[in-house]
Amino acid sequence: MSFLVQSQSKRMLAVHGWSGTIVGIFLYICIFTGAIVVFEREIDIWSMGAVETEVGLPSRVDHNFRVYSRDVDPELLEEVVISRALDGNISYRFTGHIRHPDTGQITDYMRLVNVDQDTNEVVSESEGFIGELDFGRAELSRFWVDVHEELYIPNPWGRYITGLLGLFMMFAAISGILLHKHLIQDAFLAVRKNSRLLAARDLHILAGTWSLPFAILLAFTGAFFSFATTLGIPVMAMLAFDGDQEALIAAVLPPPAAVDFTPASIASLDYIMKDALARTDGGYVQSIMILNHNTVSAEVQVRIAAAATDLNGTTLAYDGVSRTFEGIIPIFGQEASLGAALFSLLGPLHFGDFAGLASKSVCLGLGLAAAWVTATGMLLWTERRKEDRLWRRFNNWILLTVWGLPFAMMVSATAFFVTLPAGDPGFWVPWSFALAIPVAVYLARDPDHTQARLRLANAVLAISLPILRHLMGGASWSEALMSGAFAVIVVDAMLIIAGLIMLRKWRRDTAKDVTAPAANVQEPAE
Amino acid sequence: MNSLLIWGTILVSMLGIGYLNLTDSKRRRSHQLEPVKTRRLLWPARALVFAPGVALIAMGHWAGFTIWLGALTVLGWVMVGITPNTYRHIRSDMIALAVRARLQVADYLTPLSQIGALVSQKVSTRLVGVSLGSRRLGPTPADAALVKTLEARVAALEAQVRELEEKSSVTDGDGKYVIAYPAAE
Repeated sequence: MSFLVQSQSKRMLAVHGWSGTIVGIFLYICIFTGAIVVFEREIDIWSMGAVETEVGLPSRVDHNFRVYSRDVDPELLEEVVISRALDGNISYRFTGHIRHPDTGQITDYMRLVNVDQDTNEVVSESEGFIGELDFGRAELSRFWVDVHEELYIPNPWGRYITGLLGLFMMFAAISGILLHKHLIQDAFLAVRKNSRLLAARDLHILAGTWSLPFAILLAFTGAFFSFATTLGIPVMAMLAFDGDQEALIAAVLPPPAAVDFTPASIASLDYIMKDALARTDGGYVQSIMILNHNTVSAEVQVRIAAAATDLNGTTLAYDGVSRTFEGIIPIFGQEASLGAALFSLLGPLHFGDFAGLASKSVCLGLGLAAAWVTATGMLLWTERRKEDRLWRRFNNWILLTVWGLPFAMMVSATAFFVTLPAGDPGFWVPWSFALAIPVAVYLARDPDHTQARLRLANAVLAISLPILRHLMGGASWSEALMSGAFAVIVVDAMLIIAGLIMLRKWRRDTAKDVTAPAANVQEPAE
Repeated sequence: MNSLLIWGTILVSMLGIGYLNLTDSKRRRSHQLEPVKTRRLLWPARALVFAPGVALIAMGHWAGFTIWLGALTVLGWVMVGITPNTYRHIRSDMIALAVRARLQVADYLTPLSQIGALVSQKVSTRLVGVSLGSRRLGPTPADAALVKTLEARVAALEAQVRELEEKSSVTDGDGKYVIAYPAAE
């Protein structure tokens, strides 16, 4: 059943195809990198050689908090956050709002103390304005996240572009539904392999049919995250608050309470954590935030991880002095509402991080399905017009992007490991990605062999990356297994399996090139 | 328990999708497969696909429901995307791999089994010796009885041979025995 008459269908198909071809390459980059960075935490653990994978805070942090907050500048006790760093240490962040000498604006100034959980010794200390501090995040995942969120284009333009790509993806998915004649039957469509064109069409329709609901969901949430801060707040402020952004923020966030700076001792954080755990179904405390430490206005906010059956965690508020439970803090707005509940779903549904590796694996699969739909859609469009030299060349560009992107990502990972001993991966990761592009273009100089050559290059890199990681001092599988750092094994195994599959495909492709006669090309209806 | 519940629901739904995929007449025709002779249980199969999701909602297991729906989308796509021909290729590859692995294992096992047999023989002999309270390896009483019986048997056979020799032999002038063989016919 089609929702459109034939003439409307034709016009819709033209818009669907042309717009897809024009923005498809950027959309593919955004979707593919997004699917990979779902495993951001695992990539961090894998690339940083970390073997500590405990999550959440230990049951006792109160003593250390009192010891390390004693010598901190009182201005930085305005906001203290205690959480677990990626390397397993307990991180204490003391933050104050101080005027930046260069910009003249009030900016977050932070003192960061990382403490070993077992020995209670300070592992590292640093201090500075936010943006100038190193939080111990791996440069590799940071770069890949930047490519996904902003296409590595300076703010706010990168966000505008990815937001528009999200909106386009929604349009493509909805126009795809309207164009579909047999939406339900096509779920079991048989892929015809006797022609490249028919196969491309069938693969596009099949993947599009199955991934439709989540494609719309991922596109909507992605567009929301891109536009929320860059465009959403200014536009909303303009429409409802005469351009006054501060009034908008005051309307949706709880008003800051007047602070009474009378000195008062903070209640036991260990007791508050225990109480918060007893009030919720969650498994562990993700973080604690202490506002206005050592004053009668002190407040403690405890963030509890999502329960096994929920998508979201809970934040509980306590009076910092009397340790009285004050209530659950809504994620958005001043009190619990449907809007806040819907808003709270956006993050878990987009990032897929609500149930560990299980939900992340599903999210990776959904991302790859969406990337597949984009790639096969573009290839279908260009294959049909391959008689034209320009379209033939564009077809090669698409293949170059499809296979060149993972190639460039793996080259950047290689550069990360090679430059890690010199301590300069932050510089080399983006540069190696950029330098991989001309190499990929060189490998794609012959359109008939673009796919095979880039596939082989990808296979070699994917298989050699785990070896390189280990040679550069990364944890071995036995070490990872002993410490429960399954992320190291999972990422290594995924790379090796992907490498072997690509190697096998490459061998089959090259064997076919030598033996098989040219395929019988048929013209399918689009 | 929680993971088991989620993966269990996914498995149940995948059984339903698998049935629908295998019995889809258009799909079977495209892949030159015989049509299904029995009645297609369309609605029970659809119920099998969606019932686990409904159950997860009824339980208020929203995380499980989201994972179930996402996994169903991805695994369903993969299952349908693979043609029967590819399944056949995968199966033959797996069989070839298994045969190759078995042969290699057998190659390793042959010398290993020989060494193992030797070791087990030594160990068992040793154990028998130990169980008899003797550190030295020597004949058991049963062995001695067997040896006696065999010696008696050998002696009887030797006597028979001597008797036969006397019957079929003559002595020459020098006193040497000359055995007379039966003449060839």
